[in-house]
Amino acid sequence: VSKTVELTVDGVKIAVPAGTLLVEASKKAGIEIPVFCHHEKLKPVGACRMCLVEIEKMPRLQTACTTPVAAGMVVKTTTPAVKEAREGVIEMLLANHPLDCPVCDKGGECPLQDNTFGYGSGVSRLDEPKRSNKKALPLSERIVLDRERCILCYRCTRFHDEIAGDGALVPLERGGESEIGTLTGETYDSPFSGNTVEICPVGALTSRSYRFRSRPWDLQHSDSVCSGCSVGCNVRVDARDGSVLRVTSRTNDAIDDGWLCDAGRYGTLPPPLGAEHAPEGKDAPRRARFPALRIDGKLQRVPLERAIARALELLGSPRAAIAFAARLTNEAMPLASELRAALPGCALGFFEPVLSPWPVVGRIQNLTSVKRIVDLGCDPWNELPILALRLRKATAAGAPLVVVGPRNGLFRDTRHWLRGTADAMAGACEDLARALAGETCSNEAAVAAASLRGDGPAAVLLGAHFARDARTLRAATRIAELLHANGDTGFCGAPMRGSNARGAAELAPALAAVDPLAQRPDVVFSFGLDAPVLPPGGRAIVASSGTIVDDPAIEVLFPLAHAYETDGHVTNLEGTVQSLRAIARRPGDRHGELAMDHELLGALLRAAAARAPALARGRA
Amino acid sequence: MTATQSHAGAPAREYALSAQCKEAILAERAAYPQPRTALLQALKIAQAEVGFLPPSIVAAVADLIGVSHAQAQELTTFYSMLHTERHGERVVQVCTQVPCGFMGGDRLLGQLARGLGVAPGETTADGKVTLERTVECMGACHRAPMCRIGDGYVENLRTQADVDALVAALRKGTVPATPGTRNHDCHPQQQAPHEPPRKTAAAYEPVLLTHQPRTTPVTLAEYRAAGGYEALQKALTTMQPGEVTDVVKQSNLRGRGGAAFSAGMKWGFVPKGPGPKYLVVNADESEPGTFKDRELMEVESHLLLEGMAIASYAIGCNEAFLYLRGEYVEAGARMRAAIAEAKAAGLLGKSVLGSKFDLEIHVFLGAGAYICGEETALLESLEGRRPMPRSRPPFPAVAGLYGRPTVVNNVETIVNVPHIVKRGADWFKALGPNPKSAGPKIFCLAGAVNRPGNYELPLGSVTFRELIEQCGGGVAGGRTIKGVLPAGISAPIVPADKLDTKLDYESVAAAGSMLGSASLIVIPDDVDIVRAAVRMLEFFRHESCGKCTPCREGTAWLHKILLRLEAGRGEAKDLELLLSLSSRISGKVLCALGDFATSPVTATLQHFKNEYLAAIENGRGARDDWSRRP
Repeated sequence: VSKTVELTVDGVKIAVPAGTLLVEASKKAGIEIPVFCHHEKLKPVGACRMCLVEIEKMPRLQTACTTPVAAGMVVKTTTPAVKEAREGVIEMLLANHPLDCPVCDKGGECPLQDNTFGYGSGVSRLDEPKRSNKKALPLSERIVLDRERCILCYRCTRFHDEIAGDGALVPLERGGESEIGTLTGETYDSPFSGNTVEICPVGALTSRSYRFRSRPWDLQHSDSVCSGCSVGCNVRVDARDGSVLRVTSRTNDAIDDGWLCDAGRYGTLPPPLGAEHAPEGKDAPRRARFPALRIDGKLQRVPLERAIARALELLGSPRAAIAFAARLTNEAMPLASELRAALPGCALGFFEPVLSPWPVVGRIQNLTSVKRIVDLGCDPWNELPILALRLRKATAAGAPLVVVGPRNGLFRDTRHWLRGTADAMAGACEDLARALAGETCSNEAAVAAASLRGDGPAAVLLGAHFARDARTLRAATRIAELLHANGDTGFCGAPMRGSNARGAAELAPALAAVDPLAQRPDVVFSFGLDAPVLPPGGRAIVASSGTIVDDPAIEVLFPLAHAYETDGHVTNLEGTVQSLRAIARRPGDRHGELAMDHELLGALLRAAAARAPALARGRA
Repeated sequence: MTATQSHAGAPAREYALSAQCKEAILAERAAYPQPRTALLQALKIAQAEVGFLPPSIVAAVADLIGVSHAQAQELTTFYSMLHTERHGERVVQVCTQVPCGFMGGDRLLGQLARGLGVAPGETTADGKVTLERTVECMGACHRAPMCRIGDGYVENLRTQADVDALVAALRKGTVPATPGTRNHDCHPQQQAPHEPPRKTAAAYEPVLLTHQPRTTPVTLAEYRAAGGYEALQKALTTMQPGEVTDVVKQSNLRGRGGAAFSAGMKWGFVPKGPGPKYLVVNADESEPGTFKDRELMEVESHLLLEGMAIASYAIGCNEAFLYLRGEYVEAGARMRAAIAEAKAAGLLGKSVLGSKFDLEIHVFLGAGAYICGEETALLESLEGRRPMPRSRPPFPAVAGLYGRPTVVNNVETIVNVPHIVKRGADWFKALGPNPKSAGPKIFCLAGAVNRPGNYELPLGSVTFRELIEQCGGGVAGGRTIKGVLPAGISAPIVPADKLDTKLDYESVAAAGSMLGSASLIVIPDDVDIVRAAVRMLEFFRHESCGKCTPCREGTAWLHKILLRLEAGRGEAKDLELLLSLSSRISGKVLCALGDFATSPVTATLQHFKNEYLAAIENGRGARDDWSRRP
């Protein structure tokens, strides 16, 4: 139970929970205290000194970003001393800053620009030469560093120290020579590197995929959900002229905690529609923009109705199948189910398994505060990355982590690793279960089990791949029972990876149980998959938002709206339903050319219904 | 450019650690409560074997300790004693900071450069010797001019003959790189001429530096024969830990590191609950003009150990750390030897003196970073992280080393503890005229005096002038005094007209400065104050950790302006800018280093503005002597 503390900021009385930092408390009074190093998801550091304020009874100015509120505190943020201090910090920060705003990606959304306009003196007294450095130093294939622009707020390095825990980026050298970097000759390698670009308060760290592509004021925004995996991180999609250029975090404390993984941030963007902003060459594979049929050996543009008619005709084959992507919206799921009735001979199902043998119980946010963790062959670091950050927070707070499985995906935080191999997974899990129950077990398991003793909520994660084995699943659920890993405060289950796998399992259960490719179909309709299925010797129908490599097997092609171009809803691994808002359509892209999942399915259903009698006749 | 990078067609060479070296690193890793503490020592072990730290070696060390490669490189590039490039077999580092610089350091650098035929920063053609000018003070100000060679010191290099002998020894390769002070290996004089006399002028019998002018360590037998470890026995057998804290509190012992905070109160802040607590003794003595802890550790090792044991008992600590600056290799070796002696005699380790009290003491050497003298930066360094000061609260007494309650005390603070326990708080308070600011104090006296050295006297018992005249034997060369820096270069200069100020915290504060660590640097009239300010700001610029904006950017900016002034390219408006920038640093920074960094500018400008105006008018030119233009 947190106490409330009353204080006064610039004459405004406010009440905030005890322990709140002054900089956050002041927001409640509608007072902005400028910051650079402060970030609400990182620990207080007090490095940039931009947030100096006057507090009554304190002899020196204090940093609002490190000072917790106290009862009766009287804070002043507009005195001459504060104004002078802010001008001083801005002056010092600009002393070695190149002021190359006209060619800087950050221009227009730059805290240094904003604070300089808001709190700087507007005059330079600098007569000395500035420190100069190589511009645009590539740190990795994704990220470029401009050391001249860096103001050493240490947000990026603190992110890797406190949040990712991988120490991938560090401050080097010291004093005025300090700079951000890695070990000489090594690349900046982290599955979470893009977050540092987002939290950088200047244009020092930039994404190579976004550099020089747009100005912030030319971007259209929409709120969506990352389609990379089933965590469902909240994103803001930024597009220019209808082409998605980047996604940034739209902080949802209950799900993503404000962070995105690189796989989501960089790996989920739809290919650009036109060549205007595309870095690829003219002949590079393109994204489908119009419905097309193979006529005279070439894919040629046709009206949607004709493409649908041809698709339905092909799907009349006795060995036809439709493989849906697990990312389809909840709006599309019932329509996909209905299509099953309209195409009686066709095998309809999801390309990847969506039905978890052990559906997740518990909230993602519980993972942060669990006291004991068992990971059975689940690889959150690579497959559900944001969960790994949550688990790291728990281990950093002292929660023991026992990993069973061939990989130790959470390597640095693991307390005990029982190396169950891919073959011997069930045995290793049973061993740990017996150890927890106090039965005969291996020494290794006994030691690991001992570390898990104690009270408090627990998390048990099972890799979806291993969950299909009945013995492993039984052992896993037994471990969860023994650790009392319940859903109220804990977390257990085998999360599936598809971004709407849970929605699929709940809203299209009949399809969820089917492997559409099990019977070696000769006609496959790939619906929404990243890479289409091309049956050997057979024919393919493709509905895709990705780039299309022209293959003679493709008979029919439907352009599909990407997740970020779609309105609808998806259900994440914990069962939370979240909405996707499409970015404004590209000018000239008339409705129907880039169909959303449910639009195309609706059109297919209507056409199939009209055709049904004919189909029936054909069968007879 | 390192070998593994192989830019510009240089042949790539992979370096690897020997099995023996890896073993030493793993042993170091196992020695501390957390493996990352061993990272700095591991890098030093690797460097000792390979000669420098190329990326492949940094990566190998990181893997052995269990941190990311970048995190190991973070330390490698921060500490000035770790090198990413290969040096000559012997690195000769000449101190040119205040006071060494004006006591002949710059001259020595020039003599060595001519003698070796290289410019500072270069290595001789045969790869044997690298000559360097250091910005950091080495803690040998009373034996200026001096240089550090390998892990040893060569001091009192006063004449051309001394330098010639040294150059010859370097050419022959007979100067060892091992720790120790070896004036005589390459020094024609048999005895350093000016070690301080044992007795100071006042009628006072020293209790801390009881063996002057001796420079060899006091053995355990000698120490015990003189009543050593009786105070520890008394504390363990007759006093509760709280009682020890109480008597230290009553004595008003104030921290000798510079901040002068009550040691007993600091101990009292440590919460009582279960779990480990730590004592960390700050021996990172890096303030220019300060060399007292060095003498205490090199000679009075057991007095320090006894003090550490009593303090640990008082606060409930079973694992204590002694953090020495990296250059104090000799002091570190002597402390380790003393610990081994004490352990063998049952005075440390399991059940100290047969009691239920256990104590392990780690001797931990830094690697060249003034900021580690700041207690929270020191803790970061101990944790194997970049030594940048922490923002307070929480204070170390609540959350210090590894987030646990920690007391950080200076060496000189701790050596007072056995005496207080043995003789009582009243004895301590009676030493000196002011009971609130009493007790023995070691005054480091350096600069232009005839007998520089450490002098132990009660606080407040003498004035600046009395100390200089009676202990220091007056100003060298019959010159007059321009001013005295009372706390190394970190406190405002006290001009000549205030030399009758008593040497205690309150009186020096009233005179507009700070007593701090009581490291008095006497600056004679003929030293150019602009040159002195340039060197002092060069120091703060070099030693700023880079964490907070005003210190990182401000010290560099101030230094650049001063360099321009010194070169004769200054303007009158620069003086205004110097003061304005100083006010935008001081009071706005995260730790005291930034506050200290401005007084070399503001105080010298306040008292000696005419010299700044003269520099603007005429410039100093790039002369390597420090004297003013006639």
